[in-house]
Amino acid sequence: MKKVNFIDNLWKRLSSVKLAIWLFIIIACISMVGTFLVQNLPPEQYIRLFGMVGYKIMDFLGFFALYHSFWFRFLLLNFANNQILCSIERLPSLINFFKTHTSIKDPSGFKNFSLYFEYKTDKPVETIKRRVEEVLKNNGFKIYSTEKFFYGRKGAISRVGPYITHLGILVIFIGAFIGSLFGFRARVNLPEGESTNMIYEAKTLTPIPLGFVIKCVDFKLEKYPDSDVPKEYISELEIYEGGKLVLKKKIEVNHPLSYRGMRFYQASYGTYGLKEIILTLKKENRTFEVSFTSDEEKQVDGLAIKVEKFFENYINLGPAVILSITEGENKKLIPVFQDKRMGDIHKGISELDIEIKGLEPLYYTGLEVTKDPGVNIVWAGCIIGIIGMIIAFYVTVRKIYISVFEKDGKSLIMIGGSVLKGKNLDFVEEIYKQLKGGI
Amino acid sequence: MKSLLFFDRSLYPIYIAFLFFLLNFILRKRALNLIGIVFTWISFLMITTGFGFRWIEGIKVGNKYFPVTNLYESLIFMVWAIEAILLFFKHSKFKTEVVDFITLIICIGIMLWSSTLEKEVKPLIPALQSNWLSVHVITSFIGYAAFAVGFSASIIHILKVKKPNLLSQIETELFDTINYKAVAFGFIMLTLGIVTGAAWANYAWGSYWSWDPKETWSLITWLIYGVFLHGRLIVGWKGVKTSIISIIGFLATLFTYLGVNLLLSGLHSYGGL
Repeated sequence: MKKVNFIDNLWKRLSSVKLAIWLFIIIACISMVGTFLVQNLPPEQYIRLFGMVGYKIMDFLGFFALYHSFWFRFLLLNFANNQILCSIERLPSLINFFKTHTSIKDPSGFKNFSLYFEYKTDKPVETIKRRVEEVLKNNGFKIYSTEKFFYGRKGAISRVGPYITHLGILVIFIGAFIGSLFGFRARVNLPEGESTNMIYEAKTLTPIPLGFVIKCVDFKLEKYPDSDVPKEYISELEIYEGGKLVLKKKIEVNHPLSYRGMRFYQASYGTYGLKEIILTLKKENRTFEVSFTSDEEKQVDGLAIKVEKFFENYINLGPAVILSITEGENKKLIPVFQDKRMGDIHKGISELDIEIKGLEPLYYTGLEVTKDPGVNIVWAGCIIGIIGMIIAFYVTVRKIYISVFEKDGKSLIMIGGSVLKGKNLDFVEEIYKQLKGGI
Repeated sequence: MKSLLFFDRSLYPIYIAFLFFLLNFILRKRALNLIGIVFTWISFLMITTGFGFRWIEGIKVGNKYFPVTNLYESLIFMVWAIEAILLFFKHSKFKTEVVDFITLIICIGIMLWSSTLEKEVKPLIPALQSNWLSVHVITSFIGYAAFAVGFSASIIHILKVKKPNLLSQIETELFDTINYKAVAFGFIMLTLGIVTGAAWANYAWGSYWSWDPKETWSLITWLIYGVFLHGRLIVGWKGVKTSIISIIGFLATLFTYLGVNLLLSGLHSYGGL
């Protein structure tokens, strides 16, 4: 006996709105903690802040990866569970609402409604009854007539709105769960011209075989004219299956490539060398133009010139190269910047006047690869949820009661209407006017 | 820039509208209210025109998206949205007298602050070039604006409960209704804002939710208004209780919008938005 009570009690608690509200508040508070305490930092930083013991305890409790900790997940699970139980708990009253259309037995009860009208006319009862049905139908009411009166109802779906919303949220949870089970997030850096069939899990760096080959044909960094603001990062990608080209696409930020359930995003880029550099040298009023591809050495007017090293951003002054210039036995190393304003920097070392005319680095593109088989389920859940909200907030259940009967040789029409508290009752007056107008 | 001409000057009609609404609060004259409405409309239309010019100016530097891409533009858009919701209530059967001037104080505050910010139209960095961004910002901000109106109604509601002879002609219940209507609408818009933000995040960097502080705070705000709606619709909370939740919700909204960028770091660091 006692045991049943306990289960009853537990059910009541788990399915209560009170628990729902507490869960809202607790989840909100914990989420807040996670935004102030920066998550997933390297352990040293936490140890500096909280000391070794503090770090160990907090780490054990999952404070540094709060949103992925077992107890935060437990809370979310309860959140989902509470929604299901709340819905089940309220199901009987919903079914009841759709089954029993009205508790009113007799037209005399109409007078208790928040809005009530009466009207007398000479027209026969039958004509008026037909008119009532017509008006109610025209106004979108579903008519349930009893022997004594007409009962019209509109917007009953409003009661289902909250169920739809909560269903949507559950669908989102399911989608997220599927994603966390079967999805991944990985990275790969691909130099221009190179290909790979392997990507690396973002956190653990575990290799994941793609099952096909992806090639970066070209990477381009476009800037807005006369400005250093990047306009577009573009990677030209190709996908090969069994040695055959199957797909070709240029990807940009905000425009990924989808293939076999995976998406390839433009995430980052970098340089790893020089593709080509064109230098102009002025020597005794003669100008030479030399182009280098890799680390080849070129002879210019008795000088042996070689690009020793390339910097994408040398001492924070932009792209630069270190040249070695050998004249006979004499070898000098000279830094040359792309920025013309830095043209004088090597004057002290060499009397040569050297400028970079053109420079194209070898880029690699940083791709982020994700697979999330749950994502479409999540979107479906979002749409369901929002539709449910709109129904719950903006559809109102409207009930109207109309009774027509003979009294003292005349037809008496009684109209009453009800609606949830605080909602608009104008529709009763509207129907009353329409009825009066047609009779 | 023509857009700035309109944005800057739209502050004057807001001031005037505010003064007339304030006078109406004290003297209770229909005409004062009407003049207030007219000036709110004027500033609303000025900002609308300003956004038209702003869009064209953006196109000239190579941006094709609706100009809500930095803090300044977003603040002006917020004022626009607050005015839109205020005007909606003004023309509905809920006579939003009184809530009006508090709402306009918020607008004036935002306008004054925005005038100290970087206002130039700049080319967009790649991550911000997306239609999802426009939809995301617009829905979120209309939501925030609705919460601002709910907040104003809540303040008045609490004042009126504490001092019953204040505004004795107006039913206390009215503020409760306005609060609920604003919050319910704001909740849908905030949800849309979160969902479109998630869609953008998914499209731009492959993850619809990554517990970034901005995302997390939008969830916190969502949960607070969730408490409001469940409390009001199911438990039956009313009056001061729901007003307090609405005020807390608006503070969370402000933190989501501004606090996160000023105090915390994360993905939303671009453009100060």
